[in-house]
Amino acid sequence: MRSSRRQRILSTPLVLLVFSFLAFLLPEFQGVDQARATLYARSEEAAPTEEAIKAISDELGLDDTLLVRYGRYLGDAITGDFGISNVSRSPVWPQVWEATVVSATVVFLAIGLAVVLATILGVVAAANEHRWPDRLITGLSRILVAIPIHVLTPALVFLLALRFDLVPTSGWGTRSHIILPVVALALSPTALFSQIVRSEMLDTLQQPYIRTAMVKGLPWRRVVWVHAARVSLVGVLTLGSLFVAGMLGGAVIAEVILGVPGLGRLLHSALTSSDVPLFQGGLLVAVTAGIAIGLVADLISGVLSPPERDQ
Amino acid sequence: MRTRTWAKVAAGIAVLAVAVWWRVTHDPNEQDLLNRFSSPSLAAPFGTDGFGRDMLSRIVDGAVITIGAASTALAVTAVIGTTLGLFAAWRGGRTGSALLVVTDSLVAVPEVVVALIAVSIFGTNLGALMIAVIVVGWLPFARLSFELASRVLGSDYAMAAQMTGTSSVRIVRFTLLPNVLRPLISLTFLRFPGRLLLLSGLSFLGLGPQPPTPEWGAMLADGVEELERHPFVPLVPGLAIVLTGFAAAHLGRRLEAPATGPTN
Repeated sequence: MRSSRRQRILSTPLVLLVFSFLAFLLPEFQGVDQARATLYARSEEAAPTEEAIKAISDELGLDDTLLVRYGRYLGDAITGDFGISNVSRSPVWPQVWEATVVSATVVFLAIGLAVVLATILGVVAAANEHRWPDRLITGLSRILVAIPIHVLTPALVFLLALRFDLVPTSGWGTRSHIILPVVALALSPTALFSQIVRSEMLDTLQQPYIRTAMVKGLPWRRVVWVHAARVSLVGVLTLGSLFVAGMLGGAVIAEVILGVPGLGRLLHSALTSSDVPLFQGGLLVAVTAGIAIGLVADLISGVLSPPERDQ
Repeated sequence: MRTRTWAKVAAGIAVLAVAVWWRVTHDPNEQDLLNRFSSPSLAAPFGTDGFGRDMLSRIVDGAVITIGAASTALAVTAVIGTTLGLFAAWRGGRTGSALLVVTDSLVAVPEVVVALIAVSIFGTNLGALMIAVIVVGWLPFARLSFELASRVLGSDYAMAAQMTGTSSVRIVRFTLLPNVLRPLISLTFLRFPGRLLLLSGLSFLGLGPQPPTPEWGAMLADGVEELERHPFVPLVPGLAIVLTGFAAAHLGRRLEAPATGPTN
């Protein structure tokens, strides 16, 4: 049972409104004095005078009603004005945008890697059902799928960076910095997807058209990789697109451990340093991205798997 | 088969007893700066951490905190989600489709991000973490209970019960609950590893209980700083998290199996 696609698309603005209101309310929840915080962000650490606080309150319109202020906040946010960071004292939007690009790079590379690896591993496992390649792949993926990102990432740092010195332990900037976060994020979905490809392949290999292809005298390799694997690829692509939003969560932890300046680390550092405007901005972008990706994934899965179209 | 099960239970109880005895005789927060990062030995079976604190008794305390918090939060989530789902199924119509729309839209919002909002409101402590886990976790319970209950309530036997004038309470007790309970319990166990990982993951990021509380995620974060020279220190809490998740997932699959028939 699912809601219709039309309902979901129509409800998206509503969800975004709810989250933007929540983000707007955060300073109220936390009891942050916005006049003081803004003043601090703009000028020096010197204790502000009463007049300065009064002036800034007037300028920000802090004495208006909640709804008026929310309307103003929303209007600014839509035009990309998320205010000024309390810590770096520079506008929030460029920081959030840069971080989003970094996160998107990592997440999409990781999903791509997972889809490719999982297809290969799943097909190999299915073609060798119950023989050692299958046992190895299935066993490894059962273990990998259960290891959380905050255990897996340090383990990878230990193996790849410290023991074998293949990649830098943390940081960002060069090409080799991308490898560790991408691998850390890709492993668990690879394990999950490869199991799904495997079982789909086993189903497919039972189909009459596969037998036909074999009777025609096509080599087994060609039957497996061309005729059967194509079907599984569709399934894993659908799954991959649905997985992207969930991966943003894992990215938060991986980015913090590996010092990748993405959206997750931005949210984390904004939270730990009480940088409210930066946190609000990052939050809204992350939520919007999640929902947008979800909708796109929904459309992709609808196009790729025709039977789902009418559900 | 049955003797093997009993042997497993007995072994489990024995291990638990030894761990509890160890915890009672060893203070998890007592520092011993002369024996920092000591390897596993009879004096400290899991070694000691950067303050020379006994890792085994910290793991035992951490088990109570981490598993306790995760399962409490999960139980609350399950009750809230199930209540919402059953209510929507009972009302049907608009309420039902509203629930579907809400859950379908929220499912795309990354859990960790919602959890960060909860932490930013309620602060960095164990209670805030539990609230975070509760806030993000009710969706699948609402979905599953809604679908199961809609199916049961739409069935011929539920109709028959209603037409013969059976009271609502009796329908819920004897028609609805027996049909929805088992899958929901199985879902609860299957969801446990994810909740454990979310909770310890947030705590790993320093958003949970503050030192010296021996929460597993926080212990792991402490240990990771010594990854290069003392890989054993992060290994212990890391393994604790992974193995507990494994065990719960295994239990969930066992519970699920009889309901859906043998799976391969």
